Formats: sequence, structure tokens, C-alpha cells
Amino acid sequence: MIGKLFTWPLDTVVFAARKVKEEADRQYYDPKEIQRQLALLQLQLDEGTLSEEEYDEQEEVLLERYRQAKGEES
Amino acid sequence: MAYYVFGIIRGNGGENWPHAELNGKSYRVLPIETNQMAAVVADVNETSFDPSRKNARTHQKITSEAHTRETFLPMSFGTVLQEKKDVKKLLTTLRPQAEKMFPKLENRMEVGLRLTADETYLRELASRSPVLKNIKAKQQKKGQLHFGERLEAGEASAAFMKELHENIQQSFFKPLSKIADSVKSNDLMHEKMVMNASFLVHEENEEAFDEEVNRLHDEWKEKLSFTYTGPWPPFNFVDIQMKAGR
Repeated sequence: MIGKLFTWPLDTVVFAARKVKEEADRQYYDPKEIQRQLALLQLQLDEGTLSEEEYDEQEEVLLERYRQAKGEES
Repeated sequence: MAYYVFGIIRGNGGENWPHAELNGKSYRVLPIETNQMAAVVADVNETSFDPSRKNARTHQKITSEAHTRETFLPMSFGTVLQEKKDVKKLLTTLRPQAEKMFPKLENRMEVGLRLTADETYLRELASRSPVLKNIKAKQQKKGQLHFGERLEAGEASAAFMKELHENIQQSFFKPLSKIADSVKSNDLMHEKMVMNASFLVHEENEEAFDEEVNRLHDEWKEKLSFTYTGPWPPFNFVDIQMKAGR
């Protein structure tokens, strides 16, 4: 009982941290979320807040994630 | 061999389509017709296409070309079918839906209007809000707000922005909806964006719509940045999505 009392908060923290990570991973590899971020990138390019070079760099990172996400889907 | 589907066109689609550049390769574009309705496709040798800017531009280019030829129902980016018989099956499946949609979209175009609030305008509005003024005064007096106060500040800011979005959308939707056939509100893409809408406009009303946008621009240009785009195929007014192979 004592052991349980001492470990319970830690278990909870670990469980919560795992859940947060799972949710972060889900968003990180969600093709729709990646497409939304690509659209935002395009908007920043159109509005002039992002240069062509910055766009290309960030697009490549997102496309790599998109390929991984699609790979996991199939 | 597979087929990248750009959308469904009324009639036979005609000839001499421009080539489609997808994943860095040039593919032939052709219509596949059954009974006065055709799928506009590229015959491709791969099934997965990145949503890159180059590929998206190609999708936009071919769908725009189709839209100038006949009434056209654009598909969303990346729709690939494995065989010609799948394309024919798609046409058969979508025929009842397409026949209903064609007359509603005939001689119509989509235009987009995005509005972003100017920083100075936002500050000026915020300085007139009693709630935000009170929070700011508290912060200046105490240096740092405690947790509950920070939550309260967040909620007050969100309510302030919500009210601003509603006021602006009302000012724009009301006059523009009188000219457009239909309007769709899309997601706001960043915190300063106050409106992101698509309008379906009959070509006879294109000039009147442009004039109204210009009038609104003259009225609001000191407060908002305008991004007015189009004409586009009616992407936001057609809900057709097919998964490859289905």
C-alpha cells in the first residue's frame, strides 16, 4: 500500500507524459495537419514574411514528414 | 500505369491538353469519357504525389484549364486510380451527383478573399476595450500576473478577437453574399487573419463582385490587408473525394 502511494503520482506523470507524446506524435505525423502547415507556409511566402529559400527549406522538412506519415498509413 | 484524376468535366473534355508536371516528370493529360461526362486524368507511372508547391501548381493549372473549357468538378489533390476501369467506375458512381451539380456550377467561378488585420489597427481597438485596458493596467502595476489572472487575460483576448472576427465578417459577408451565389467560410490560418472566405460567383456578376470588393478595400484598406484571388474552379463548393483504388 505504501509503495503504491509513493509510486502512484509517478505512474500518473509517466502516463500523462506518454499521452502528451502520443498526441504530439499523432499531430506530427497527421497528413492533414502537415498539409495545413504547408498551406500556412505558402501563405507566408505570398505575404512576403518568408523568403523563397526559407520556404524551400521548410517545405522539404514537411514533405519528408508527409512521406513518413503516408508510409505508416499504407 | 495509373491515373491521376484532376476532376470531372461535362461533355467529352476535348483535345490538346497541356502536359502535367508531377513529381518532376511530365505526363500526358487526357479525358476519359463515358456518356457525355469525362474524367480529366494524367496517365502516370506512380501512385503517390507529395503536396509540394510544384505539384499543387500543376493541379491548379490543369483544373483551371478544365474550368475554362466546360463546367468542371475539381477533385482534391492527390487522387490516383490504378486502372482505366476504376476511372470509368468513378464516373458511373459520381454521375447522379455530378448531374445535379453541373447546372449549379455552370458559368460560375470561385474567388477567395482573405483579410488580415493591421497591427496598428489591432492595438488601437484593444486600447479601446475596457476589459483589456484593465488587464494591462493590472500587469503594469504588478509586473507579473498570477496564474488565474493570466487565464483571465487569455480568455479576454480570445473574446476580443472573436468579436472582431464576427464584426468584420458581417461587414463583408452581407454585401458580398448579395452578389455571390454561395459563400464558404474557411479556417483562419493565423492569429491576425480575420476572414478567409470563398465565394461562388456567376460570370455575369463577376464585375459587380470585383467592384464591391474594391469598394470594401477603399473603406478598410487602412485597417486590413486584402488578398483577393481567382478565378478558380469551384474547389470549395464541390465535395468529391475518392481514395485511390476505390
